[in-house]
Amino acid sequence: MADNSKYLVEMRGIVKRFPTVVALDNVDFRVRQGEIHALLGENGAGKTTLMRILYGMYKPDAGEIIVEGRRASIGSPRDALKMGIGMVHQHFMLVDKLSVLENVALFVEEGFRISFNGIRSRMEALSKTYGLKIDLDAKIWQLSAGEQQKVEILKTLYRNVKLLILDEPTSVLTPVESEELFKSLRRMVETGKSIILITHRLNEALTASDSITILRKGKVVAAEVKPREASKLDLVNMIVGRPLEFKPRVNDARKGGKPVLEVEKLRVLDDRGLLAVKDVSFVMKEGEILGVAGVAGNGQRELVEALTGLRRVEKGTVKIMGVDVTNSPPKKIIRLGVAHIPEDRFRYGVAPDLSVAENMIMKLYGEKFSRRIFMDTEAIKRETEKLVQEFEIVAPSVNSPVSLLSGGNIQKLIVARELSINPKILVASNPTSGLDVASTNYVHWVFHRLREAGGSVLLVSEDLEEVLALSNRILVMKEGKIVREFGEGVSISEVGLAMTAGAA
Amino acid sequence: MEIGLERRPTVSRRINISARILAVLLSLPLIGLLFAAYGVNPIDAYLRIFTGAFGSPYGFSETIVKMLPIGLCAVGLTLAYRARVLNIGAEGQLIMGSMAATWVALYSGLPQSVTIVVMLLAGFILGAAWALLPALLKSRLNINEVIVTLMMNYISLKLLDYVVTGPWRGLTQWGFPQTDPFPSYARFPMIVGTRIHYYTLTLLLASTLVLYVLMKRTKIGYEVKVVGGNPEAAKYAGISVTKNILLVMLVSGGLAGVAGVGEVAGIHGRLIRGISPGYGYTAIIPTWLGGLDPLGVLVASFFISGLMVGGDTIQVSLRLPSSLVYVFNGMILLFIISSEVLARYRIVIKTGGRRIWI
Repeated sequence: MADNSKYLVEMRGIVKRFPTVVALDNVDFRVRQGEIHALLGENGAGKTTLMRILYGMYKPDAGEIIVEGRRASIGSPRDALKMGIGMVHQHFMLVDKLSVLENVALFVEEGFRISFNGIRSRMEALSKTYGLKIDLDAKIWQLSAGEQQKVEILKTLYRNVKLLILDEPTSVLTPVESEELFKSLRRMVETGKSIILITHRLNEALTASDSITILRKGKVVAAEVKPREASKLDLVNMIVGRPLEFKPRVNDARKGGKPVLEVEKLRVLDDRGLLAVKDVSFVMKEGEILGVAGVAGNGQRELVEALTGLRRVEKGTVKIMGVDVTNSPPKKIIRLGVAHIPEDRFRYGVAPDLSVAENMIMKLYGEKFSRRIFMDTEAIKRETEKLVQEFEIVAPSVNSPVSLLSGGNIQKLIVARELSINPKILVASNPTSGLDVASTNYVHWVFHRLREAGGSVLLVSEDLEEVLALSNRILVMKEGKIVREFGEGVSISEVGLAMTAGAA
Repeated sequence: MEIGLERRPTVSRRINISARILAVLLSLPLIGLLFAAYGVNPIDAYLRIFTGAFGSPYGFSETIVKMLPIGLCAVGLTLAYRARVLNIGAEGQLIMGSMAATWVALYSGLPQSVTIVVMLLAGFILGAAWALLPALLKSRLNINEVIVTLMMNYISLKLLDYVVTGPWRGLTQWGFPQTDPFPSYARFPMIVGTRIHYYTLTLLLASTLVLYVLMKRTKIGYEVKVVGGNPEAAKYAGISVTKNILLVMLVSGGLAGVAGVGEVAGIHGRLIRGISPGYGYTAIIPTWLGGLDPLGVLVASFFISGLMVGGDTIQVSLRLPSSLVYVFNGMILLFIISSEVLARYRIVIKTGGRRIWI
């Protein structure tokens, strides 16, 4: 990577105000040609806003953007793409029922006629050049999240972009997939393209990028940091602005706790009616954090939904606190003290048009927040304000609709709500996905506190570092089965290998 | 200078109301063009509509008369729409209610003293039963309730035609498609000098109040709101989606049924073909205009009923087709739906470094 290469994009003095906050306060941001540039910062630091401005989704209130030395006016993503700037969002913009090829055609064809043959040959060439293998005729719903991401990247490359913005790309990837992604990104950079990588994972920034810019509360705190000149701790200090309080540790499990969750020969179907969980059995004990590692789409979602009453169990039994809850309604399971941080926060986690307060009381509305048939408005307000403060949820007010909150803040709301029911068992799927370093740290501390109080956590996560740092035991799930069990002190590569290589 | 839209951090009641009033006001000049096309001065037409509906004791009382069926349907629909269960079948549910009451009044042979109470109950139950089928289809098989309720309106309409031209045709009616008149003990009393049947009025006001408290203050109201906000999240929170769909459909169907009882027992005194001039459809408009808030919906029902009465007035005095009023209603509905944007977003005008928002 050449430091003397010229800047591809320069953003100068960018200011963006939202109704209640200044999201970006005079931000300067520069990306060189042919580099991977990591953009770091906490939730709400302004990373996504800055990138949305660059991609033409927002208009800045002040400031200018210079692309290849010329002042550019980017009014829409269409303009951005014309200038060679493409973005892959956290939530994929693909049509489920159409094939890969058809989705690409939707994105690239401007005229009336579609030349599928032309698209096919170009796509094949692109996927070969960058090492992004994909079945062009597969329907989107048949693809894993990692494969869908490849489609998104390829479809952007098809437009001949010079700069590709990736918003937390590895949050949906397994370690192996992440490595492959970074290899592909490297190839793109070698052909002269530039990449902006928004991420919360500091290791990625340190190992995969050429340059790092850090935002905190809408301001640049460090620009164009060279990864080899910075340590992980330096980054944390710059991102958070203070040292982290909690250092996760696992060696404090209670020995011989009584079983709280017993799963016996469980069989569960997925949405397509195929067997997704195949005769899974395990026991979780009181005071234990039990990790479930695995590549996404290997039955974890179906397992979690079956345990929480959201999906039918075909065969087998689930016992919670010794009570058989196989195919019990969710309410019964909640009453037994089971909290659930769902994998897809928008599907189950919140009702977006309802207020922060209304979403916060969703689990206890019938107990803590009502008297006979009436809702206790006072208690609702008090409790919500307390939780908003404790978890540092950024919201205009407790009466604002949740849809106004950023993804990270919605995740905090869900975590706050689930922990507020004082659960005996917490089933957590990717609990810190989209959370920044400080919030992740806080959530880990709360898990730890929950365990200290005798609670148990079933931690289903694709973030292996997280699973390893917190779990007393780790189950590895592959193709609907539990293929390995690890105790403490296992290495990340051992678990990673078990996830992909199969049963030992 | 730049003009744009941005999300409002909170949507206040005041904003909701002003956006809707604005919607109604904006629809006026547009419909005025239609009046002008008929060679009528729009301002004159509006004045006549207004005075016709609210300007005389008679007009005012007739507005209330129309508000009874429209309001009962609309308040019920409010609950259903809150749960995002789009019941379009109030018309059919109303017709079924009127048929149930007619059977009780003419054929049940019940003691006179209980007839009225049983008529109301039967109207509620049959209206609710008519809503039960689409509710079951939606909650069990995920079949779209809009289509089922709409189609069932036609079934009930044909059933009505059948009974009034067939088995229930009145012996004293010279072959007209209507039943014999109800005995006096099966009729609702009216406020003297008007056609306001006050039993129904009392029921309308009571159900409005009950639903208002239910939605604002109770667990049931909260559950309905969550189901409407995101059914998957409701399931996850331990709220039964099926139970809530059934509840809102039964209540809205039942209230529409009661509206039907009011029409036969209060106004016509018998069951006739075309017992409802589309009250169940018209009710959809005040439901949205009132912002899915029972009190607002009651006020909006009064307003829309006034439009219908005023429409009758200009039909006579200016010899305009009465369907113009339906065009008017349709326009208002379109404007209200569009005004949702203004309730949720605010207009920002940027000039230089200054920002002004509305």
